[in-house]
This record gives sequence, structure tokens and C-alpha cells, in this order.
Amino acid sequence: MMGSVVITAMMLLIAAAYIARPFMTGQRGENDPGADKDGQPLREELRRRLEEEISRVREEQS
Amino acid sequence: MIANTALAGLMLALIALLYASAVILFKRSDDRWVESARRAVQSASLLVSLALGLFVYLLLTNRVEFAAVYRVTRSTMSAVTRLTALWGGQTGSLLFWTWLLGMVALVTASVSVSSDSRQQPWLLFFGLLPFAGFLFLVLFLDNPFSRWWLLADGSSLAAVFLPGDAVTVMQPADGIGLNPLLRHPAMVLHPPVLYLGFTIFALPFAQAMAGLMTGIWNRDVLASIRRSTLVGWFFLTLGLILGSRWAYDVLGWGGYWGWDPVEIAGLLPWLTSSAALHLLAIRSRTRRRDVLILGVVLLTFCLVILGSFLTRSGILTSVHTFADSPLSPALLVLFTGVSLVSLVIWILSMKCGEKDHKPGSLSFWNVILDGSAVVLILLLVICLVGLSVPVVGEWVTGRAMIVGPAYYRQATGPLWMLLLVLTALSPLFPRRIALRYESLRAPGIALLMAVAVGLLARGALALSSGEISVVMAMTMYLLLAFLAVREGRLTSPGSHKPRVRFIGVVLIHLGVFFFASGVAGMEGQETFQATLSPGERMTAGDYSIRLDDISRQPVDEYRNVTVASVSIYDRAPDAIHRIAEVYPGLEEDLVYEQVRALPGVASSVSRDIYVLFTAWNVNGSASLRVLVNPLANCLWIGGLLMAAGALVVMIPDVFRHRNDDDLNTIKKAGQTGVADNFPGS
Repeated sequence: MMGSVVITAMMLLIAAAYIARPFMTGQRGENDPGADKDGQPLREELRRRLEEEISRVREEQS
Repeated sequence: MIANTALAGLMLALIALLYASAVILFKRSDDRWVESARRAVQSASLLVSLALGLFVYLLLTNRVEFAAVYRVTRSTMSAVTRLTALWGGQTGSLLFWTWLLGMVALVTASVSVSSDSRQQPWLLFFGLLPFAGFLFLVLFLDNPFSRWWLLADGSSLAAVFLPGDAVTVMQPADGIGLNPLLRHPAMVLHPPVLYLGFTIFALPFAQAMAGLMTGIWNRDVLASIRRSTLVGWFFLTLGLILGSRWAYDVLGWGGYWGWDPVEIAGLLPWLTSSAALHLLAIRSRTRRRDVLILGVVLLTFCLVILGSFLTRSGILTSVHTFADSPLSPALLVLFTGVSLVSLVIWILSMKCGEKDHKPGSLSFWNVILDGSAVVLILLLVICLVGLSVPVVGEWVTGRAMIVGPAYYRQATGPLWMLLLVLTALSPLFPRRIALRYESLRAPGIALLMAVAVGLLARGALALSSGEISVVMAMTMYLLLAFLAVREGRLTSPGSHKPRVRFIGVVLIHLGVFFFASGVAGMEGQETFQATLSPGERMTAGDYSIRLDDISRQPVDEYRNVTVASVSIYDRAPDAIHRIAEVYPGLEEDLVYEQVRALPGVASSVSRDIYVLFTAWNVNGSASLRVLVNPLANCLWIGGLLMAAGALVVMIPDVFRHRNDDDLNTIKKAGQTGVADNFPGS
């Protein structure tokens, strides 16, 4: 019984930490090459802008 | 500890999915929240994978104190059979089904299946919706981790947690074991492949819903939906063929398709996905047509849930159904909910699509492909009517009603023939409709040659009229396909070789013709029966059948098998040329109190001789039934060709996805200047 409680608590902690990671701005600072100064993941932002641009160009072409 | 860990995993998974749903509904404009929801879906999929792994461990270790394990395993079963027991029972198969939906949700959360990031939140939402729905059923209505508890009054009860008046966990001596009908090599593959086919349709469903919710369904989105639908279609086709083979080998009636309600429930999404693939093959000119196509894609997944309801509720009598299910009302609610949500969003999108409706020019290929889709939808309607009549009829009249194979055969027969004719004409693409001599010459010559081949086949091979029709249609199709390649209409630019996708399409349609040949051949099935003592003979059409010997042997402490040794001879005047020896049997399962006939089959290209040992009489004689099944092998060849063709069609998509998409994305990004700071460019 104790074992399953420990394993459940571990699963809960790992899942919660993984799910909450996008909000953990404290771990992504100025020195983090993957984030901008506000802590936003730079790569995701660029990818989003890139996809929007590609969609716009494709719609224009079609 | 294992069960508690698995239960905790399932519960955490459901909480994570509820969290992700709430985030998408209320915070989808914030990228960080969407990213968090994406991670929640990934976590839920992995947690359900953990629970599934633990359940498989319980099956393999024969932990019969768990009710779901007790019902399908037995200590004498092999490890492989115990693994197949995962999908052999209601509870395990529901967990497996949920896990597959979880894998689809994982794909929507991890792989970029949409070319537009604005669709991502809705893609995630509609990917997780069916997953969460079935996870709810697993946790609260049919939990695989329920244990047997011994109650104070001496009775037993299956429950997850200790009931108030329970004394202790009950430990049965052994399990019941898997139903004897399910102990067949095809059962290792048939259910998982079929389930995979069904559940993969959740992906095009999510893509279509995301498209309708955002109003974005451009060429790339539709191409992506076509790819995922094709993957589902591939697995569903393979699953249905494996199921037919299982029925042919195990059920001991000599047929491959009995128009059983659950077989039909499996056919319904196959019909709509085939229709969707035909419609998606043409580039749309209007948004209204796009919405119609997306409607067919949505309908496919709704029919998958309907099939799940029909199979698991026990509402229709079938060899496949699980009886006495507690899931019936919940599955009906799930089906109604998903269908209503889809319908409302689809109707609203249809109204938007009316604004930009503009007529386009009609090509011959449009007529062929749209016509094929319409015929497939008509077949769907006939099947739905056949499924509804017993339920509605019983509800209205109070008497049990059955719609038999004769209805389906008569109602669908002309439509299947029309479908073959349309398929035979399909390589005329992309000719415009114009009644000029030049455009009609090639098809005219092909038609004349097809008729000539049909007449030759009739004279030389003594084929039936149905078989000749299929041979003519196949000849016509191949000739037109050859002409299309020769005229350079289906080759890659600057090359004389046909396009890879076209080769795949030809393979699929050849598979259809082979399968149709098998169906036409099986219509000419001949049945012979006799009771023979060892050494006696019977006549079966062109063959002479001799019963050589009968022997009885135990398989294990729960099963006995009685085997007849039967020789098959050419029916020459002296009948001395033995062409095959088969061993039909009677398997008796003492636990299930079930006796089933194991067929002995002598298979050749032209026909199968299918021998059944139906009874061992008290005077030592054996009752034999012999079926001569013409062109039975064409069924399996056709099915495999269809599946292989689908794989070939996917090849360019795989390489295009790797080379074309990624490289062009970077290249175009470079041209527009957006990718200057793109990491990895």
C-alpha cells in the first residue's frame, strides 16, 4: 500500500512538473539561448510566425 | 501494488485530459497554456500506456483474482494466447482501444499534422475528446483492475475497492480461459489491426473538426486529412480481410462474410473512408465541396463509435458481441454527443461555404470519382437501414426481427456492380467529356478487347456470368491504365515511368477486382454432405472424397480433439489419383461446453475444397460436409493487394513530407526573410 502511494506521488509530481514547465519562467532567463528576455521560448515563437507567413504565401499563390 | 499504481495512472490521465480540455476551451489564445495542454495530453497517453503494460503483466502472470484476467486466461494457455486475451474480452479490449485512442491523441500533441499552427489547439481538443470519453468508461464502468471479493454471505463480487461487507480478496484456483473461437493465429493480428484502423480515424476527425472550427481548410489541410484517412483505411482493410480469413478458418461454415451486424458495423467506416478518399483525390474548387468532404470524414469516425456501441452493447445479436455489458447507455451517450457536436459544427460551416459557391467545369474524372463516392454512400445507407430495422422493428412490434444476408445481397449487388464499372473506367482521367471520335476511340477499343477476353474466358474456363463480368471490368481497367501511361497522362514530368502514387492506385483497384472475382466465385459454392464409415467414399462435384480414419486425442485437460483423415481424389472413372489429404476435426472444450468444427482445406488457385467433420456418430461413422469454393483465394489476394496498394500510395507522401515540406519551408522562409533567426535554418 505504501509502495503504491509513493509511486502515485512520484507520477503526480513528474506529470505536474512536465505540464507546468511552460510557466516556469524562472528557469529560462537571459542566458538561456532558447528563450527571449520575457522567458518565452524563442524557437516556438519563430516557428509560429514562420508558419503564418507560409500559410499567407500559399493562400496568395492558390 | 500493481493494480493501485495502474488505477492511479488512469485517474491522473483523466485529470490531465480534463485540464487540457479546459485550457483549450478557455485559454487557447495563450501559447504557454496551449503548450501546457499539449504536455498534459502527452502525459495522459503515457500514463494509460503504463496502465496497459501493467494489465498485460497481470494477464501474462495469470493473476486470476482480477475479474478481467479470470474471464480470459487459464494456466494452461501459452504466453502468446494470453497476450491475445487482451482483446479477447470486453474489459481488456476496451482498455486496449482506449490506449490506441491515446496514441492518436499523442500524435496530435507531438507531431505537426497540421500546416497551420492556428489549428493546433482544436486539433489537440478533438484528438483528446474520444480518448477522454473512453478513458471515463474504463475507469468508472468497466475497470480492468476490478478484483473478486468474497462477501460475508459467501457470495463473490467484482469491484475495484474493498466493498463494505467483503471479507477478503477471493483467489480462484484458475481462470475460465479464452473462448475457443478466439484461439486462432488470425486473432493475434485481426483485432489489433482492425482496432488500429478504427481508432486512426480519430486523427482525420480531429483534423476535420479543427479545420471547421478555424475555417482553415486549404489544400495542405485537405492533403493532410487524405494521408491520415488513407492510413486508417489501410489498417481497416487489412483488419477486415484478416477477420474474413478467421471466419473462413474458424467458424466452420465455409464462408468469409455473413452480413453479421458487427461485420457490417466494421464495413460502414470502410465505405465512408473509401468515399472520402475518392472525394479527396480531386482538388476542390469550392469551399462548399470541401465542407461536404469534411462531413464524410466526420461521419467515418461517428460510424466507428457507432460500431463500438453495437459491438459492446449487445443490442444486436452477433458472434462478435460482448453480452451483458454495462457500457451500453454510456456508449450511446458518447456516440450521440460526438455525432451532434460534429453535425452542428458541420452545418454551421456549410452555411459559411454557401457564400463563395461557384460552379466549376466538370471533368470525366470528377464524374467517376464523385460517382464512386455516391455509390459508396448509397451502400452505407442500405447497410444502415439493414441494421436499424431489427432494432426499430422490435421496439415497434415487440417481436424480434432479423435482416438476413439475402436483403444485403439483393440490395447491394447492383451497386457493387456499378462501382466495378466506374472503377474500370477510372483511368480515362483526365479526359474532358467530349463526344469526339478521338476521345472515344481508345476506350472503345478497350471495351471491345474486354468483351473478347470475357468471351474467351467463358469458352475456355467455363466461368459464371458474375465471374465473366469481373474479368471484363478488370481487363478494361488494365487496358485503359496502360493507355493512360502510354499517352503520358499519368507519368511524372520528363519521365516515361508512371507516378508511384498511380502504381499504388492501380494495385488497390486490381485488389478490388481480385476480391470481386472471389466474391463472384464464392456465389457458385457447392455443398455436399454424407455420412461415411472409414474406407467409404462420397462424390463432391468433380472430386471423390474418402474417409480414411478417425482418431481422438486430448489436447490438454480441458480440451479433446477428434480428427478425421480424409483423402481427396480426382473424379476420374477409377478415382485413384489422390490430389490432397486433409484433417478436419471436432474440438470439444470442456470448460465452455462448446464443440466446434475445425475445417480441413485443400487449396488451389482455382478453388478450395473445404471439408468439415460435423459429427462422430455412435456407430463409428463420421458426418462430413464438403464445400467446393471457386476462386476463394482471390479474396485473400485481393485484400492483400488493396493493402499493399495503399502502402505504395503512401510512399510519395512519406518522402514529400521529409524532403519537400521541410526544405521548402526553410527555403520559402529564407525568401520572405522570416527565417533569418530561425534556429536550425
